[in-house]
Amino acid sequence: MDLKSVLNGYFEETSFPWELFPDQIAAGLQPRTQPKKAVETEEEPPQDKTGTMDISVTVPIPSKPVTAPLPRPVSAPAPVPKQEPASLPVQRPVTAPKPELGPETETIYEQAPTPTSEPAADRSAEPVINASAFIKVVRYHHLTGSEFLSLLGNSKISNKAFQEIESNPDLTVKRLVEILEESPLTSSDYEKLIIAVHRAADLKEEAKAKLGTAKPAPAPEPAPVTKPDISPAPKPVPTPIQVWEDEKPAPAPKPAGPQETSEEAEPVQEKRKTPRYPIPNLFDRKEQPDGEENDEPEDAELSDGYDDEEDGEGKPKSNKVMFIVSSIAAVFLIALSFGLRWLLTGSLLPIYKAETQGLDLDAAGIFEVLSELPPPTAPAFAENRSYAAGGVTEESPLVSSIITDSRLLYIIDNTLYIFERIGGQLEQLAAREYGDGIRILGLLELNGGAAVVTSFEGIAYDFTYTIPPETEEDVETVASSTVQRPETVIELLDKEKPESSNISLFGFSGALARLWTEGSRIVAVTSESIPEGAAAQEPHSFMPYVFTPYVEVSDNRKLCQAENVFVPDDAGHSGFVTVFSLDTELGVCSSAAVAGGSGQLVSRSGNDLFIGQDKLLVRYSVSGDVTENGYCVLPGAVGGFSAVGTAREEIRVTYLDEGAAALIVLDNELNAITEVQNLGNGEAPLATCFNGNETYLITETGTMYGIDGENEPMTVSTAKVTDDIIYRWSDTVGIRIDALGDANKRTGLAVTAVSLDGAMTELSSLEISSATVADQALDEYLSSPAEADITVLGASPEDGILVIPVVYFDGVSEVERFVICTLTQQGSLSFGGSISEYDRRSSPIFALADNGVVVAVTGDRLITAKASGAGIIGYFSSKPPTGSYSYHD
Amino acid sequence: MSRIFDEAKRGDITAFSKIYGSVCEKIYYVAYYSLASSEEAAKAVTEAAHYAYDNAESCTDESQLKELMLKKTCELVVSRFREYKKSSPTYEPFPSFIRSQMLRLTDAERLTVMVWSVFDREAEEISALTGLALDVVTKKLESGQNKLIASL
Repeated sequence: MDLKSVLNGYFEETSFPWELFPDQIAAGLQPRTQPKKAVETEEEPPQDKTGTMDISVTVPIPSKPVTAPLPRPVSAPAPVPKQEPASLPVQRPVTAPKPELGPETETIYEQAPTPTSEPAADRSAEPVINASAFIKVVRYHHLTGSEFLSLLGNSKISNKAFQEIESNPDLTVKRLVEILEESPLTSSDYEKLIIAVHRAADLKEEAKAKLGTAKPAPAPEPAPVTKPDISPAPKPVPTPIQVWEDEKPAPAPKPAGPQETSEEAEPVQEKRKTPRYPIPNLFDRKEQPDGEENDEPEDAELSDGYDDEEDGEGKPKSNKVMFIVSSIAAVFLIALSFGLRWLLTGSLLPIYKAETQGLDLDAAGIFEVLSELPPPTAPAFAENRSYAAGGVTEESPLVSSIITDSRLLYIIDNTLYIFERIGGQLEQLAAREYGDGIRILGLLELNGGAAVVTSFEGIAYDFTYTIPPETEEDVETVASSTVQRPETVIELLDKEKPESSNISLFGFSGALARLWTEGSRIVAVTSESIPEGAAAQEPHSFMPYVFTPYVEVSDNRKLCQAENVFVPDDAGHSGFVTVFSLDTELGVCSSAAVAGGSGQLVSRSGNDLFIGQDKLLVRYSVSGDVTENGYCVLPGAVGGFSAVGTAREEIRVTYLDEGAAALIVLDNELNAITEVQNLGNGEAPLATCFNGNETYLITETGTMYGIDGENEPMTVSTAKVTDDIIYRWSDTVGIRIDALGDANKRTGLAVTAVSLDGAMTELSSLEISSATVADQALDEYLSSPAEADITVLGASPEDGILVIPVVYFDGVSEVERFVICTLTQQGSLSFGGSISEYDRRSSPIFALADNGVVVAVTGDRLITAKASGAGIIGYFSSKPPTGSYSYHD
Repeated sequence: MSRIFDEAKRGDITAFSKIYGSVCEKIYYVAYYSLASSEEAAKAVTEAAHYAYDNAESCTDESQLKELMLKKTCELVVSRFREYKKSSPTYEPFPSFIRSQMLRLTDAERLTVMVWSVFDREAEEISALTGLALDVVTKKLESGQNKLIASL
């Protein structure tokens, strides 16, 4: 066959779009009548004043501040932020006449740039906002060098360009413009920068107007207020030292930028502020002198002594006497209140105890208490656990693949695949596609066995209930209703033959929130909002339950006992947070629940499990049956950033106090020892993490505040706080995958072994770039799915094998490569070979390693190879499931 | 003909559009059957035409100008291929028979086969036009041809 002529025959029948007709193309071309213009700089006279654009427009501030980049580990001492100087020498713009209504932006007609993938349609003369325009605006508004660098630091400018600008205070405007034009900043970036300049200038003006005179800016925010504790003479608590994130180096002493006259040297330690918007000063209301009366509106006993409205008619002499008498009375009353509290409760501090309805409520009583309010709209368990201090974030035991000596299990697209494994040979035994409202959450590796954890939407079932008569003449009415409650189901697979149908099932009411394993024990926490209409007379329609075996809906539900349900005094909607403890070997499960509430917090410390709901904190012991082990009421509600840390017989909890983060320290009996308020300097808290008895709060601006074990602010963090995804290789070594290169161009990936010693010390590093394994490759597109999901790494610490799946485009084909490394116990990495697949765009791809064998899974293809030398053993394919699998058939 | 080229070289849009018109359809075929949609192909051809007009001074004759347009189109196609690696493209619905057969090929196979069939170029020339390595072009051209022969 003459393929060429056949193809051309087809091609000639292709319709040709009208926009590509020669006359249409000609209409879009710009006549080339003069040479290409150079980009204007400050030194050249402005070319065309016509068509200037006044860009000093008012831009609405976004309602939510831009989230700064996530904080990096901070190890250097942090400086106290310095106030900006009041004003700088005025710099008159060189262009004349001075504009009256904001700066002018010159219309710059550029020749067609080197074509990129940008559309060429808008090639007509259009005003372009470029570096020159930006510099002009900066000079017009007399921005300081540090402000200018701060703006640039928040932009897409490269590190190299930024450093050049920062380190050259004598930079000319021309050179500055050249540097900016060489940077990847586009017209829209410049526009945004110009808007930011205008906004900064407006804010300055507003601040000046408020201050009136040239008074310096307000002093740094006062110390966080600590409630007095039993130690004598509480000393003033200094302002928490802000530990700044450093994305770019600190500015040079002499600011660079468009100001060509010399300016006052900026302090060396001043760093770029990450907050993009002014932080409201929330501290005036908190400012209290130490040692004086403590206004505690919550404490009724104290407030009684502060009625100063009695003395309305003052005579000078009697005023003084009255003041003295009042002061003495106040001091006496304060002492009396502390004394009374100590006598009654044994503690000088207010101990918050929950007032409950009594633990002898039956199921109906619980329902009546709970069913009045609608369920919360905020999602439960919005806890941010992406940060860790000095180590690895708590990992979920749920995985998507398990490899043993004889079996390989993994999940793809809600289907469980089970292979028999003999060395490097694989044979598929089962493929179970879960359907009927069942979603696989993950696999659990237990002592020698495995379990499949799924969420199930629940079975709707009808039930009848009796409506008692309202009057004596009425008769009882039997009504019917329907309820469908979501479940979390755990299927325990046969240890020797997971593919067999010998499965034990346990269904827990509610949606899974957290899960842990301890040997053969599974501890699960679920949350559930009971749908409206659930009838009180049918407790199993709303009480938490364990369901086993999964045969009939209503026969084998073991309800959580009412006495195991903690009902706080202010319980709200009809819902529960339930703790289940399942002994998989004995098949015994116990449960306990906390009712109502919103804003859940779950934290585990050893055998203690803390459940936080609103202001209530309940502790459970989960070493055997779930048993309540104390509770307390916090001064404020838990929030999404809250966490619980235990160390040295102390329990630390962060919570919200009038919108600001606060910390309470409790003893082992959950009595308050001390509190630290106003953490985070008024910034919205994002996450909390603990390192021993140190508390770290990260705010949404990316700033980190540290409180040491003595509840004092830290000047130097003793542990690195990071949101890096780190794979726990062993108790002492972790693996981190980072992209190499800057934001504009990747050059590869770095695989780093780090020591889990608190400082995340780097032990060794290995660079993966396509240049090392293929010619003409495009490093900038090399990536690894491990950057988003570290569990795709294949790891066998016993053998020292680490497999990293990598994908890239080599200029011709898509390449999926499994890079095999060896990692010693000391954390030394070395390259050991690779397995490659071409022209595939598989999802997912992941690796497993066990006993000297590497299994690379790429879509429906499995490749086994020897870890040593990467010698291929075999290629296998997975077969799709033949039907839908459901455990309630 | 050289007079038209001279005028186009000097910036005469009419002259340039005549030269463009003599090759635009073929260039469009290359782009259209390599890329995911006609919109992307039209965009690539438009950019290539503008680029060629702006850089006509670097050409010495009309064939070079046309070659410049073709080369630029191939470069833009390859850069779109790179975008496809980051996010899957949106293909046009209801493709024609030949288009659906072409879409069975990989990106590189499509491009090399198109340049080979429409412009009758050999592997070395395709390599120079597309920027792909010669051995890669040879391999992809052969595999693409084999796939099409099997289906056609």
